[in-house]
Amino acid sequence: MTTAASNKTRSRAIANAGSFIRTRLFCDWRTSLVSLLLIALFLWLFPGLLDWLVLSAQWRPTDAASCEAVTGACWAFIAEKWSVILFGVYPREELWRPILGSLLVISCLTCLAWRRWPARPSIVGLTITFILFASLLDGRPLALEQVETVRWHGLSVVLFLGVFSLILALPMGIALAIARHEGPPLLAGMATSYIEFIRGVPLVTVLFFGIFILPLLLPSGWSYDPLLATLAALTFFHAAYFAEDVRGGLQSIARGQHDAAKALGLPYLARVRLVVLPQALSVAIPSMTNTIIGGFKDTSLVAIVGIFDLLATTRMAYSDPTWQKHAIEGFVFVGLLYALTCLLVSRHAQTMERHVARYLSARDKN
Amino acid sequence: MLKTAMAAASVSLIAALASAPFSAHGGEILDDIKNSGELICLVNSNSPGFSVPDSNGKYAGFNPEFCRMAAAAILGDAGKADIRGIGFSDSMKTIVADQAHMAARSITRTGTRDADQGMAFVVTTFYDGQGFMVPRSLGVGSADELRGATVCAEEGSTTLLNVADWFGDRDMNYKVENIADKTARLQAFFGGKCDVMSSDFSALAADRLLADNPGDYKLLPEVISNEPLTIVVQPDQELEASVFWAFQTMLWAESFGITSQNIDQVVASLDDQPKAVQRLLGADSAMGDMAKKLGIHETWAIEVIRQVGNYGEVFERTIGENTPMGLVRGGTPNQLWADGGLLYAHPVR
Repeated sequence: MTTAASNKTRSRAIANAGSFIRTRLFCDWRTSLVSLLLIALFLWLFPGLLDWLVLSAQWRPTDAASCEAVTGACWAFIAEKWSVILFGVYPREELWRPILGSLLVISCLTCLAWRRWPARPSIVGLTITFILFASLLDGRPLALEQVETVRWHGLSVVLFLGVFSLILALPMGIALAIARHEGPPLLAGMATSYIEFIRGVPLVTVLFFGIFILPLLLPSGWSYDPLLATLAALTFFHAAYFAEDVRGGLQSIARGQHDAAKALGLPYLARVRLVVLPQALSVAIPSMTNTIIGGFKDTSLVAIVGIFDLLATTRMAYSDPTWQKHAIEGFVFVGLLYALTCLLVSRHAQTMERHVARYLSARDKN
Repeated sequence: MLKTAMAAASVSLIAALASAPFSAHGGEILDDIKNSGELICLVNSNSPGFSVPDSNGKYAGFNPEFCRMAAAAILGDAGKADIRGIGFSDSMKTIVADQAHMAARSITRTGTRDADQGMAFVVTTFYDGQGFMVPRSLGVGSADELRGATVCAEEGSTTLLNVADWFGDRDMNYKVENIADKTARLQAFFGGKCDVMSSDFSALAADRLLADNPGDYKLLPEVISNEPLTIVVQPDQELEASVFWAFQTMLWAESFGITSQNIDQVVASLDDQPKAVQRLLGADSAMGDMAKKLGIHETWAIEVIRQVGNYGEVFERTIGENTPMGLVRGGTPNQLWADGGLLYAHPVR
């Protein structure tokens, strides 16, 4: 009975796969040609990659010399250097702090990516995560030994700058977009010039000015933390890009929505919060996802001002004279990390889009 | 006209602001090091053999040893060096901006850099020079025969300027392959994308060992530039003296065969040692006298040798023949003067 049922499901799955192949991959000669070419490309690339990455690779955590014998990747390099790649020169006896902090941030983001949480708990949760993360790394708020920001490297810096500048930039971007779209002329003009100015200046210039020139112009004795300055610069920067994404959403909202909300007697802020923004933001999701992923990857530009991002720490790892031949393994490892994070972000965006679509279709039915 | 005037004004404004904190120093920086109990020292973050974090995240290599030397001399404990990795151009800015006491970062001492305010060159720890590496199959024996060659070099460094000088002076045409990342540059060279690779000799020697078959490549004999890699400190006459003489101690220790291993025996039998060694290590010696005047650790010479070692020890331990860097010290300027090098120990009296 059960076997018959499972046989049936299996044969249906095979039939489905068969029809997928017929109708999607080989429906006419042009499609068939493209499919064949892509399959050939895959077969040409895949065995070599598989061989290098897995089959001929050195998986045992040994020394560099034993990697000389293998033709594939030397994963012993990652086993030896993971802590340098992820956390650079953070003191080893305190290493649990960035590990715990990063796990906290990553699990927080993963939760967001897999389920759609209501907005308020998400914002509160992210804020608490940020404060906890920074306190863990710095140490003083938790009565731990202080670790100065010059020793925050690699993943800690990428999460600190990449994730939190984007989170801080979002509300600022929304405010800018509203100011530009429907603010009084003076405010709209100021928002417009801010956005245009930031978009017209390369990020590297802003970072360079903030880190090297500005400290010289301050009165002597005044100084600020380069990492915090970079966080501020990135936040101001991303805000301008977010603003334009959100403005695109705002433009898609018909004037009538405003008027209808007004007719219901809603005050201005409530109109924006309850009627305009939810619709505008859901339209803006794809372009905001774009900005988030781009912004996250831009974090590696901070290497210019001497902050050690993941690529810089990877460079540290393979500059060890004994491991110099294994740069590629390091880059593959960091590439996978970036790919995973960006996957999380787009997954989150998809969840949101589905949610919005469900909501809209439910509304249309009513 | 107005534009130029404004530009000039803003430059002088920055210069004035930058130089303001450095107008008068009589040991202020040294006092700061002693009061904070830590010496902030900048090194390269990813220079194989010279300075790179080990698997435990601690900076290791030739350059950090001189940070440890300075900390051992001033504070009596090499572990009190707060060693920080930093990019090249940032290191000098950081010193000028009063964010670090010292840099042992393979910085070439040049005239214009020396004329800049806010930093002082103290003593050269490594004499390097730019050269060329070629595949043996190219059949070239001298850098004069490189007409029409494609040169792989790092963008934005003095390396390319030196290459331009060399080929320009000889009216030879050449092509440049600009590759910023070192791994990519080496792959381009070993893959035959360029005929010649140009960099400092110490780097070339180590790079050659990364080829699948190092025997296929050789270094050409010509040294096309002088690169005295020098320790930089914040201007402070007492700090400069402390670092300079700590380094002289390492040279004297080598010439007398005193190492981190045998220093305790030498100190125990000080009366049987040559007079110069007594002046170096004795309690009422010239070095002890200097320590009192400079206000640094009493037995600084002993601490430097015990905790860091003599110059030859440091060289062999970090970049020498028995390390993966495999640099041969013999025949280079980095030998003691007595052996034909440029390291000339100054008299301790």
